[in-house]
Amino acid sequence: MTYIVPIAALIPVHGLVQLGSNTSRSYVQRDNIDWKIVRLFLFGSIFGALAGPMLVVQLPSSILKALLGLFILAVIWAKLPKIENPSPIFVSLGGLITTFATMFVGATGPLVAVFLSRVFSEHRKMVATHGMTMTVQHLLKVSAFIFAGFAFWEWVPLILLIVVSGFFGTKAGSTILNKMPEQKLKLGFKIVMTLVALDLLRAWFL
Amino acid sequence: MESVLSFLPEGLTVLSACLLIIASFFTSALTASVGVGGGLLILP
Repeated sequence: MTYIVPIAALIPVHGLVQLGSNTSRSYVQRDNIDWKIVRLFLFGSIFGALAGPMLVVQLPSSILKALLGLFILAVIWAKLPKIENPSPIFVSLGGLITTFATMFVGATGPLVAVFLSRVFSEHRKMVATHGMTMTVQHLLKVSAFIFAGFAFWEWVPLILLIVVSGFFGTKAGSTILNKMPEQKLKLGFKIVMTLVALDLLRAWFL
Repeated sequence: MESVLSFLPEGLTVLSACLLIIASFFTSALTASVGVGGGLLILP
């Protein structure tokens, strides 16, 4: 997208495409969404979003990204116990902290995924619930861009085609999700998260 | 071709639009199965 979409439109257009993609995922996988976790997580997210602008983080974004990369690697590969039946406060705090952190680092998807991976022992529930939290976060993001005056109308026909294509991709991916054994899904998650973490660490060296 | 271009934002070619549409299929499939990665993969 960076090579195709003009830089001024990149983040708003990417946000709208992600809103479409995550809405598709939430719809296709709706039976596996844990709505209690979604509500508690988003409750905490509101406070994280409000706290972000009030605090100034002095560290450069490359160091913050590298720290996030190290954190993801530690959580994904350390033999940490699952947090079964987490308390409402724990889930809301997770929403608060991840939303707050992504305001400075970005990478909202991986950061929320790493948190939810500790909460859910079943991969399918984690993926579906993650999709719903991402839908709401991107809805807020797109609303902010509309409020700020970004003219999406010029992009609407192309974004619609991208979202329709993404819907069929989501259907294909969900079929894989439902057919693959849990262990292989978890291994795939670990591999992709490791690649994401290494990409974040790369920012330190560039 | 001109009628197709009229639906695209200024400066975008039909080829680049097609690339984004195709990429969206695969990145969405990745996210729907693994749970993460598609959003980051379509960005660079």
